Amino acid sequence: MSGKRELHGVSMIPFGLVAGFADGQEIRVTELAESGFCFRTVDEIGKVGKFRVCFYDGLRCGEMIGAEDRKNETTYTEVEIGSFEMDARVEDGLGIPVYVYSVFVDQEKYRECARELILRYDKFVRLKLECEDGELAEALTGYPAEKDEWFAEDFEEQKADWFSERKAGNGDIELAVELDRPELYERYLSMKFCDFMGWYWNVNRAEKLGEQLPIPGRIYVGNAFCHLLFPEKKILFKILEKAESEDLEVTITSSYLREFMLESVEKLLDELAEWCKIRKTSLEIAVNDWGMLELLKDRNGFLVPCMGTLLNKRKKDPRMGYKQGDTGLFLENSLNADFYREYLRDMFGIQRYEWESCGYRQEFPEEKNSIHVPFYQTNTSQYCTLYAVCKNGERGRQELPEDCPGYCGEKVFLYPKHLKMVGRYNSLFALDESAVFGMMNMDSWKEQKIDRVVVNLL
Amino acid sequence: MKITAGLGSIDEYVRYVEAGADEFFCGYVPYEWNRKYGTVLPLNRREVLGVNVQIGAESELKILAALVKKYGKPVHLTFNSLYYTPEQYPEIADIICRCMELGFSSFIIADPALLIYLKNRGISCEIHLSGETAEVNSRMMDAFDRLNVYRLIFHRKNSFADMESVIRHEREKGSGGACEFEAFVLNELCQFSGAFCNSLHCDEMGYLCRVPYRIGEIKENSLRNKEKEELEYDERKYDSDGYLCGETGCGLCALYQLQRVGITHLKLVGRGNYVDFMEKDIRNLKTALDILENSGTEEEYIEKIKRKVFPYGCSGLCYYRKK
Repeated sequence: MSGKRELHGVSMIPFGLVAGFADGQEIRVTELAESGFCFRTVDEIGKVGKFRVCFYDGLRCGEMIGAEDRKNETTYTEVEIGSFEMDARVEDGLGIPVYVYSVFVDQEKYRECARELILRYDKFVRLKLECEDGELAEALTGYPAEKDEWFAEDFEEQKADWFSERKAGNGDIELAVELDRPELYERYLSMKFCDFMGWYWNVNRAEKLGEQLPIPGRIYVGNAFCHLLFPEKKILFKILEKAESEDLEVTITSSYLREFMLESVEKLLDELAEWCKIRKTSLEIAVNDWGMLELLKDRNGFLVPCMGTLLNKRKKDPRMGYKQGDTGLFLENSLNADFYREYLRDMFGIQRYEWESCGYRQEFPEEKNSIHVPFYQTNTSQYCTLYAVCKNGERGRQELPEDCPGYCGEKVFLYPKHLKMVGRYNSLFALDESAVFGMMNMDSWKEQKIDRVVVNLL
Repeated sequence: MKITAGLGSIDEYVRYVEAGADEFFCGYVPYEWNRKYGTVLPLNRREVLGVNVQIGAESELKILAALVKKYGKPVHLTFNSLYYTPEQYPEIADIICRCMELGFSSFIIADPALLIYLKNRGISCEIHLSGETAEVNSRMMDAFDRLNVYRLIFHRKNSFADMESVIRHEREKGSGGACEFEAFVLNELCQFSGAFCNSLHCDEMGYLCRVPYRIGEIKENSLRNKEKEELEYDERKYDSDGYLCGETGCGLCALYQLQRVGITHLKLVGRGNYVDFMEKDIRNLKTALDILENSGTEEEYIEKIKRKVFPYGCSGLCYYRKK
């Protein structure tokens, strides 16, 4: 081993930005300089024939920005180094002796990549430390941070903006509407279904959309995201009976189940199964909780489980257009894996999957698939964020709502207009604009293996 | 109860051990994964490349394995993305097998499909069910116990009664149920729930939940805004380095109850945080556990912890808020 020569580089640049290989061994570059780099190992390595250093190409500021550029950015430039000098020493600083190697490189390509990465990393760190999130995103992706200041006056104005001028296609695919909160349960019970739908389109400022869509043949009853918005038992059975009299199919949507809810939910399932047994029928249950799947296992036949949106995971974000990297990778999720769906079918009797239209193309499996339009959920909290603000004055001061007065009947979180999103009850939702005007484009849905469209205008 | 601390780099291991950490969790993402999937399909929930939140490179894992051998404080590896794509399952299984060869045997996993895949492949490892998996209840655990869960990590938003009931349910199963139970106790109290957070976490943009928002009406003037509670800011709460224990989320007052309901491990989140602050977090948590051991009642414990750790008040961002 020779004496220590200094590189005077930058220490501990994240491995995600600069990786290395000593022959086949993956190594962590602990110091990066234009003239070389350091790494460390627990065992002494003998001769290295060749190094490969991999420099991340992303995180570029101000060199934006077409979608194609973004897509191609997150690759690495790999530099092979066959000619170098290497010093080794033993250091004790980590708590055990490790071998620290300094590799001295005289290669133009390496020098260029190292210099460029160090500059880029420096800029990135400055942005992280000195800027707001919006400014950082603007610098790196072209995100329009100034538009974060523009809000609608209220949710009604926001909806008018979203729905008033939309045109829908035609088609005969099964259409459903979600009744997901007390206001809608009561309204549905108070009038004929066709009148209810007229009211629904109007109150959501979506009259034109309503004119072009048929009357739905199915209702979803219950809320996938908030356990407090499920209808009271008496109301639920009234809805079931009214739907039966109106020849409407029903899917019941259950949210996550808190531990204390298990007993009452089990009783309700028994009563629902009995209701079905008497009528020699079955009910679909859109399930958003693994415990619920277990509960339904014993009641298969009358109560048919569908995999709900909270269990059907996927990256969803209204800023997806600014995401760097190969966003084509978002096409699939775990439910595209055959082994997973087989397990769900064999273990729990899952017969349908609930998906959300979320602004980019998805590959749906060969199953019965419902698509929820035009909003998609991005975030949910069991400790309601709206409750926290209204009761405790701050969204982070959360607790499990008990005796919730229903703040969500009056209030929402408004977001910058350009993001087309809203904080509704305990969740955040974003609008997939393409799903507004493409709502009943039957050919397109069929092509994508969708056989049911579920509308929820929040 | 043991302290389970986040580890952003092997350089911190000994320092955190000396501060009182009993075990660690960390992420390892091979270069090949980053090259193929970047931050579009990350391997764990630290979905960034530009910040030191992962143990970089296999060579570092080997050093970490040697540290674990010498200091005896185990490290659990996180493979806890909410979902993966079909082609990724065999790749992850291979990475896990490689980690096992290096001496790591416990893995934090959130995606049920990955658990099923590992079981189908016959890969036998210690599984910690991530706090990012789903809502937790007894019947949910019945489903996951079939997939050989050894430790249940409760998510961030639980009541003591619910945790107690789930733990009792699992213990009644004996060897068929989870053996250990972990609860969040310091830092990063997210406003939404990890299992239900599907928005982007990446280098180039902030979290969606932090985008500016306003409380608004459904219809114009339908309800007058209530007065926002004035939150107390007192700079004396912070030490000379600008540190306040639990500034972004704290459950120290809850240790008495967490112990009572059967929690065995306390999660201290903070991979990528300022290392000095993490060390102070560990020391404060250790202090709190010492106080707990010498307190006869919950009131006594809370009185002492407030006096010792929060003489000028706390952040008020409670993991386990008292009614």
